Amino acid sequence: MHTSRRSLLQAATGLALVRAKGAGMPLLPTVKLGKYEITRLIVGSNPLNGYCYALASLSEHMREWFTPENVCRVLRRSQEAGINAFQFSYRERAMADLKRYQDEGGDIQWILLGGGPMKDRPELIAQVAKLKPVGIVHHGGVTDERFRNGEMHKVEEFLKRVRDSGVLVGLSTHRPEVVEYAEENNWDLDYYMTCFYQFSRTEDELRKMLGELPLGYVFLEKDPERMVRVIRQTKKPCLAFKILAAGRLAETPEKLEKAFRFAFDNIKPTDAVIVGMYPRFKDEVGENAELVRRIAARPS
Amino acid sequence: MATSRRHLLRSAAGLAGGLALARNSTAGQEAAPGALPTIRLGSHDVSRLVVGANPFGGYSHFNKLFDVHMREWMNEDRVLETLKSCEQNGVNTWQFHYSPQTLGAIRRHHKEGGKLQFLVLSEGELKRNYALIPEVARMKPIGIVHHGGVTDERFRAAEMYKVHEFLKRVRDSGVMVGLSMHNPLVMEYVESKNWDLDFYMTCFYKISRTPEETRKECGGKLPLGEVFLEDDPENMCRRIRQTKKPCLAFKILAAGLLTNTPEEVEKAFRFAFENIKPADAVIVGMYPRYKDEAKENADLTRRFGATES
Repeated sequence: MHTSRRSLLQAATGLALVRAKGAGMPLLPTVKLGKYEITRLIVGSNPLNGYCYALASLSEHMREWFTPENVCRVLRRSQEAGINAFQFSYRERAMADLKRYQDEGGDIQWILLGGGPMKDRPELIAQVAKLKPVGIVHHGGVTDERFRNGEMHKVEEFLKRVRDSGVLVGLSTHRPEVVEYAEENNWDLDYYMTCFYQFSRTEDELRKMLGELPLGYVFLEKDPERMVRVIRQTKKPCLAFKILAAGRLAETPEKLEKAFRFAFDNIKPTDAVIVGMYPRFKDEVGENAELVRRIAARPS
Repeated sequence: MATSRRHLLRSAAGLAGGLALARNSTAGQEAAPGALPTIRLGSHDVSRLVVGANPFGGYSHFNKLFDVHMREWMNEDRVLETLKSCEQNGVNTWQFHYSPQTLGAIRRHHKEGGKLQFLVLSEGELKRNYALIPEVARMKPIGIVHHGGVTDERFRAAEMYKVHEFLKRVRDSGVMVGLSMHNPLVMEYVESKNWDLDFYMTCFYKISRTPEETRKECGGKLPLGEVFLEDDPENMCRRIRQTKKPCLAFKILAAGLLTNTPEEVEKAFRFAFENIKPADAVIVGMYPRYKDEAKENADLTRRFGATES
């Protein structure tokens, strides 16, 4: 990547976002989620929280850059680029950032992942539902752990609480078997969040599978094919995430386009993707929106 | 990693380098760390911790995003400050790849009173143009080393005669002759041929596998990105212990993958010094953007790398 000193300085001062073209673009192609029209590109929140799924230093860089001001800038830029939904995990700071954005006039729809304290404090579900998210989703990492431990009754209990709260009910997972399990048991839920990569495997599971243990988070090349099979099998909408393998497939414009193309060629026309964005050095929001506009339009 | 908001704000304002490194210096003076344990490399005493150069050049071995972060922060002033901090913590040698930037930095380091010895890796133009070898040798490095990625590539392509030719030219230049590799089989080959060289640079991880080679080793599966396999260090350490020549082990922290907790870093240093020979050293790249890596690494080397006198 040849990044000029000038563009680095501009990015450092937040000018990259201002400079980005395409203010006020038409809405991206949408899918229905209950009564809501949701763009097929949803802005995710892992980079906002410094979850880079790689190295501690890179996480620090992300946390450093994502001040409340920059979170709001990214959301504003997302709406300008035609995105109308934001997915994030329940945290005090995230809720404060959303409120700040709304107070500044932002009106993005939002989908809440029941991570952090919500995992163990289901009474928070009703409280948060009053703030009118599109839906509340059981956290994927927790789902996988509970599936491994034979504790899916806890997941179901969470989903029932969400149903009772009146917002849409979502279930997130990194494991295709979880979708199969929920479908077989005819669980009462509205949509899935489906990770393209099963990076919740334990070290022992990886050693058994590969005969070796790669260090760090392991994103296996063929995982997306396994997940998109179950995505196509369920009639419920799926929001696919980690389609860029936490940045590993964003090294060149060609790879980036290939990853978006694979996603939209392999999910259903009623599905969408969630992509975390870190527009520190380039206009990722505009780039991703442009790709989705080009690749994901449904035939009318 | 707990980094205070205040520290981050200072960093964002471009002050991080100055402050973090100033703290290093102060800490160094207070703790009076003294010299690190050393090994002999020809006529040179080399500290068992050698500072590397990958983060200085933005080679994160993770992704381009992190590369850009590194390049943005590591301007020449910060490179110089990092080198100074290393020196204050007892490191006496810098290993870097050949480039106008690194050569400029070592000149400036010496001009400003720094005393670091240095080892040059044949990156860039030096990789292609062997006529540059005598010119580099005139700068009086400890040695010139054939680049590891190129070594592995030439080993795969059965072109080791090219590597041999390079090493002969280095020998003729009068400086020490080094050979770098990520593939332990290279050392087996070179030792069996009794090549005329003085030391090896040995990567703990065989990151030069092709995707096909990785699939073959991982049960047909391919992990994305650069792949650092858990068992690789043991494979390389076996070779390191078999050769009588000094080895400079690098990527002992798996390009940062083993730095998520202080315990992880300590474990990696302990493993390295327990598994290389007493006559060997380690090379560690440093990016002291958020913490005092020079001091941390030097302290660990002092704890685990002390050799019996």
